[in-house]
Amino acid sequence: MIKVNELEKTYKSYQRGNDFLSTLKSIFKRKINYIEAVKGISFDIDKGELVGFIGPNGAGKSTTIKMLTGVLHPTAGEVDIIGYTPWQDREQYVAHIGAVFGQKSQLIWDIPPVDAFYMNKAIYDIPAEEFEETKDKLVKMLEVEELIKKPTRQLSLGQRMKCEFIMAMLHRPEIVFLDEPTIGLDVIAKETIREFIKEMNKKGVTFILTTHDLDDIEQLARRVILINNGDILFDDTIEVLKKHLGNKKHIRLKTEEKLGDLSIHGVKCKQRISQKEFEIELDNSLIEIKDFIDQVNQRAGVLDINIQELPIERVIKVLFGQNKNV
Amino acid sequence: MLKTIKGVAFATYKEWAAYRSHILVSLFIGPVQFLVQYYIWSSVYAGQAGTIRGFNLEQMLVYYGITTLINYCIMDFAGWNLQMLIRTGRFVTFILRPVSHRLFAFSQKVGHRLLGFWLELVPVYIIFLLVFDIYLVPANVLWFLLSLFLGFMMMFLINYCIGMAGFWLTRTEGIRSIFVIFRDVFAGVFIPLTFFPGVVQNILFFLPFQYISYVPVRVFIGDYQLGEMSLELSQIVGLQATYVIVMLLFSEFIWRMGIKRFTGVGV
Amino acid sequence: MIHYLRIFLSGMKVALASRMAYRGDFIIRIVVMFFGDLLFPMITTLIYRAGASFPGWSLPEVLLIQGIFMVVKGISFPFFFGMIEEILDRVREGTFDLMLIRPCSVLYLSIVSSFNLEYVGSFLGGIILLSYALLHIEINITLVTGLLFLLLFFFSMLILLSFTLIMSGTLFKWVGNSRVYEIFDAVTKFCLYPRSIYSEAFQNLISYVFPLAMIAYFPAASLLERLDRGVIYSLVVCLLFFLISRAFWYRMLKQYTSAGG
Repeated sequence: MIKVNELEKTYKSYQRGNDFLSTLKSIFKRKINYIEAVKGISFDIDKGELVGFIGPNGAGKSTTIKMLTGVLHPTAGEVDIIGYTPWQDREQYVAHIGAVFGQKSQLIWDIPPVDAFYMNKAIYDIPAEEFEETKDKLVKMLEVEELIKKPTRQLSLGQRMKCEFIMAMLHRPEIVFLDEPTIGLDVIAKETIREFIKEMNKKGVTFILTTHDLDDIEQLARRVILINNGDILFDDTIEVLKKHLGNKKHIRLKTEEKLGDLSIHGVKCKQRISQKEFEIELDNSLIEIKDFIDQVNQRAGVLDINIQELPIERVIKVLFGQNKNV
Repeated sequence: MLKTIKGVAFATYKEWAAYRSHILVSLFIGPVQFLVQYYIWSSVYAGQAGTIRGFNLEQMLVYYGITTLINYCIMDFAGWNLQMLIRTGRFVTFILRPVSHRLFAFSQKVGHRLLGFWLELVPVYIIFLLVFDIYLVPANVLWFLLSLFLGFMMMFLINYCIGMAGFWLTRTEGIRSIFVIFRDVFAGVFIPLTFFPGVVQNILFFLPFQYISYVPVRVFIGDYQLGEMSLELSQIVGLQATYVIVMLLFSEFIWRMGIKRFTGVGV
Repeated sequence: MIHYLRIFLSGMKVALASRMAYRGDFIIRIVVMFFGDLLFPMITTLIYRAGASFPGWSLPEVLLIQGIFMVVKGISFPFFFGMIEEILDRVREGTFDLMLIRPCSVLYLSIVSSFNLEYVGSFLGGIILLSYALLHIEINITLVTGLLFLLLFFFSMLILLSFTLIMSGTLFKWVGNSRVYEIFDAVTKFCLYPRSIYSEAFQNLISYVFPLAMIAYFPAASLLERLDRGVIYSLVVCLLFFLISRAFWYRMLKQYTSAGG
């Protein structure tokens, strides 16, 4: 369904001086900086897949999504999505796709979302019957029957995001691109959005999402593509990724009393903030979390504990380190 | 106080230097607008020898030339900026600072105009001199500089007062734009005030607007006239100073009421 | 075709509803347009009241030119001039990308999503000015002069559209520069006066290179029966000017999509 071959994007930027003299110079001779945002990546995606792109900020995720949606022209490479080259056949192609950009709203600030929906009906040329049917179904799924009649500016971020999803799916797209769809949302809103994505994916919609939140990937994607510095470092299932990483958790711990040293098997202290506060990496295959807590509790008393997935930067370090070894 | 002005002005200067391509647009707009006036008045005086409302062709062109340059010295966004701060709620941070926002805004204006001096005034002055052959030298440098400074203050105080309307109204952009049109008309930016009907001129004499631009321009030319008034330079500049002080007191009064309202309702 | 008409109608509806969210501000903006545009007719009147004049032109004749300028603006600007603000904001905030994921022409979408009725202020002022001028000038409009006027009026709108395309195109590259409006205001000042006040070379410039004379002078001259044959060349120049500015807009868009904003 999606074939990407050696896709490349190099940005040109002109160096600008800060003082008067260098500005004057720059009129005659400009220094050009080339930034390779995406360095020739290739992958295929089949119908009905739910693929997650992860990577730190500035890794090239958004640039890739922009090229796949036809917004950005690549420097080199080929893309074939359901028979179209996105940036060449833009007008016909985009009728088949939907997109939600976490930080760019498609709703219109001063009017209710439902009015913006009707504008999409006209733009995508959706037959009235089909439109009403889709709209009602989506509105029901996301439970926003009342909200869509309020002016957008009165909605919370989570409520708005639900409406963004409706906006993107009204024309029944085959492929939906999501760029940081859960950014800034609270836990409950994240959960609703994730459920919605899973539900639509079951109905055959292909999803491609970018995120720097490993939770998103764990809960949603079966396949993970990890991008760093414009290169694909990893492209496989979430299970394989986990095997590489080991089942590690990132823990922030505060104790009641001083905890001398943390010599527990399977626990690595990453940072000692004070004698009562630690950042720890725990290997779940060597020690159970509950055993770890028990041990610490006996020795110094647990005051506060926060268990998270590994941050993305750490994941890259682990994977990159392995690649080097091979 | 001087330290604050210097510090803030310098920071503003540097900040705006990054937007010099925006400021340099003036090098196009200023001469183009002057060219329009040049054609208008050359044509008007071609069918009419002598003076019109106290100006001959050369004086008329000097009037528009110096009005343009004075505007580069005194224009500011103080009103716009203040109402934006109030509307977005960012004004709160200024209440907590030891420096009053008015002094801060004034210092910003100083820095911004310092940049305007190099990027707008000097190049446009040279264009006027070389392209249009308009030779701009004040009749009396000292009186002119004093009057220019007072015009600078007047512009700031009037704009700042209009910005303070934001303490009472939620959306003031529209009102501000209408006000700006009238301010510029009554300051003599579009046409010398002597072109207005006698009654209007007599009213304009008592309004603060002429002290923004019209008075500095007349002081530059070296002769002041409006309505039935014909004053010495010392007299009109003295009057200008009096008006600036009155305006300063007035803005202080509005400021206190505004702050009371802001802290009473908001925060 | 029907598809595009539907987009236009829904775009207009949404844009209107958006503006109406702040009714008071909307009305004030109309008033601002009204006063702002009447400024120059007022100054012209003051010049004539002082006993001076543009040689060969009576006050109502000059006001006819200025009135036509306001009416052309009032009729055409609601449909496309808002595009400048739309592109200015969207490119600055990075939301222009959203226009590119819609299945229709980007230029068309930019135009219809910025419908703006506040230029009604200019239109009203223009109508007042026109009525005054026509009451004080003796002209008899025949079918031929009437049709000629309409043709020139249409070309006048085409030139305003061209300027809009050039300005908004510039904003793809010159991000966030709101001073394009000032440039437009400065340049169009030349449209407000009889062409004969300019030097010979400048007259040729605004007739045959940058056809500013088409915006108000030529339509007014057609009513006053003061047109010369040169207007035929000017019509051709106008068409070229439009095509070039349209090409310029697309070129800038292309640069935007390959530079990535």
